[in-house]
Amino acid sequence: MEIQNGFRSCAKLSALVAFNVIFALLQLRPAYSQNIEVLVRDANGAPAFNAVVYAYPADGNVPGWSPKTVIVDQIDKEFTPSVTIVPVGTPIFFPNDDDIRHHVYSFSQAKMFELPLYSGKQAKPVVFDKPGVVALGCNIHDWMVAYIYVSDTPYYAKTGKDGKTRLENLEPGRYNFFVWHPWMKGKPEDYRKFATVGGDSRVEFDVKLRANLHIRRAPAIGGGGY
Amino acid sequence: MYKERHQISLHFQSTRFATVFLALLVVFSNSATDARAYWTLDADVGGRYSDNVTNSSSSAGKKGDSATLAELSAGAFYVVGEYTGIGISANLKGGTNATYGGLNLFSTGLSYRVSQKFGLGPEAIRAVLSLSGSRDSYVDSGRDSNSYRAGLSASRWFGETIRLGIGYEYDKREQLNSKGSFCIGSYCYNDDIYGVAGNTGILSADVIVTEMDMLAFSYRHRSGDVTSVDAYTPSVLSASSAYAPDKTFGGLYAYRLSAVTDSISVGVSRELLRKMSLNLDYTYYTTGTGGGINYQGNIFNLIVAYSM
Repeated sequence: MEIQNGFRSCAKLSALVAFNVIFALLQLRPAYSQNIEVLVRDANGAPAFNAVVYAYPADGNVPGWSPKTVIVDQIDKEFTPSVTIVPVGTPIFFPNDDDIRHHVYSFSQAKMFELPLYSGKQAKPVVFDKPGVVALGCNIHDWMVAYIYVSDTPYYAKTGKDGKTRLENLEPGRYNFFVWHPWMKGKPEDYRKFATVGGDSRVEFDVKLRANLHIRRAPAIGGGGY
Repeated sequence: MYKERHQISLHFQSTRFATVFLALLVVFSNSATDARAYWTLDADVGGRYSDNVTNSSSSAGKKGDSATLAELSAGAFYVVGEYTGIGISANLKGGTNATYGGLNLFSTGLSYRVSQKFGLGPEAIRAVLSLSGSRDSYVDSGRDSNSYRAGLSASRWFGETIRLGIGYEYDKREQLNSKGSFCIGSYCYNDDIYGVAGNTGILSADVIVTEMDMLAFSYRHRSGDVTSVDAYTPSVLSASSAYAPDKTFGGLYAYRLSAVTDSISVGVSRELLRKMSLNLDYTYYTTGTGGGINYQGNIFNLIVAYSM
C-alpha cells in the first residue's frame, strides 16, 4: 500500500516537473523571435514617412504566411492609407465611403486591374498575387494616388512620420534589409543592408528621395481679365 | 424706331440664350438623376491691378486701377458614366475698384460643364464642354449686361508634371441699358458699346515644378468686338461701330471696335493646403484694329483659391 502511494506521489511529481519544463520552454520561445528597429531618413537627414522596410533571411528560408483581407478606403476623394504593405496572395477590398462613385485602376505590372464606377463596397476583393509595387489611381479624380507594396516576405513594416518602424517576430540570425519609398531614387537593392537579428539593435537607411511632383488637388487660377 | 427695333432684338437674343441654356440644363440634369453626385464649392478671393482698364490707345485715355475680387461658386458634380461627368453650379462674383467706382461689379450666374475622358489615367485626353451665363450689374448701370460663354477644350497630362491644353471659346455680352442711339445734334450713333462678341483660341500649359508649386502658361488669340474708352478722336470714332460718353471716366468716350487681341499669361500657383492655393499671375495683352488703333495692357492677379 505504501509502495503504491509512493509510486503515485512520484508520478505526480514527475508530471509536475514535466509541466514546469514545458511551460518554461514555452516562456523561453519568445526570446527566439525578436524585433529590430529601423530608421529611414532622406538625404537631408529628415525622417522618411511611409517608407516600406522589409527583410529576407540570409539563408533564404523565408517562412510562409496566411494572407488576411485588407482594406484600402476612399474617403473625401483620397485613398486611405496612401501606402499599404501586404504579403503576396492578400485580398484587398477598396470600399468607397464617398457620396460619389470612384473608378479605381492600376497599370502596374504587379497587378493590372480596373474597378469601374462603383460606390460602397465592391463585391469581390482584388487578390494581389505577384510581388512588386502597385500604383493605384482614380479615373474620375486624377489627384487620387496610392501605393500597395506586395511583399514576398512576411517581415515588413511601414515607417511613421518619425521615419521609424519595427520589424517584429523575426527568428534570430542574419538578414538582408531593403527599403522602398514612392519617391525613392534608385532601386531597393541599391540600399540593401545586412544586419543580425538578436545582435544588432537597429538598421538605418539614408535614401535619396526625388521631389514629390504629382497632380495636385488644389485649384489653380489662370490669368486673363482683359 | 431704331431704338425700339434694337431693344426688341436684344430682348429676343436674351430670351433665346436663356432658353437654350435652361434647356441644356434640364436635359443634362435629367440624364444625371441616376448618378450619384457630390456638392462642389469653389471660392476665390484676391486682388487685381490693371494698368489700362480703359483699353485705351492714348496716354490721355489710359487709366490704371486696382480691384479686390471675390467669387463663390456652388453646385454639384454628377458622374454619369465611366468617363463622363457633368458639373452644374451657381456663381456669385463681386469686385470693388480703388479709383473708378463705376466699375464695381456684382454678378450672378450659372455654369454648366460636361467632362469627357477618352481612356484611363491622367494621360488620357480629357475634353470639356462648358457653358455659362451671368447677369453683371455695375455701379455705372450703363455697363450692366448679360454675358454668355461657350467653350470646348481638350487637355492631357504628360506624366504627372506637364499638362497641355487647347481650347476654343465664344463669348457674348449684351448691354442691358442701351438707349439705342446717342445723338449729337442731328448725328446719331449706335450706343450699344458693350454689345460685344468674340471667338478665342487658347493654348495652355501647366508645369508642376516643386512639391507645392505649379507654373501656368497660356496664349489667347481673340477675334471680335472690344470696348475701348478714350478721348474723342475722329480716327477712333470712324473705326467704331458704337459710341457713347462714359460716365465712369468723365470726359472720355466708350467705343466698340472690331479688333484682334493676343495675350500671354504666366502664373505661379502655390499649394497652401490640399484644397487651397495662392495664385499670382501676369497677363500682357495687345489689341489691334484694322484702322490702326492699337492698345496694350498689363494685368496682375493675386488670388487665393479654395476648392472643396
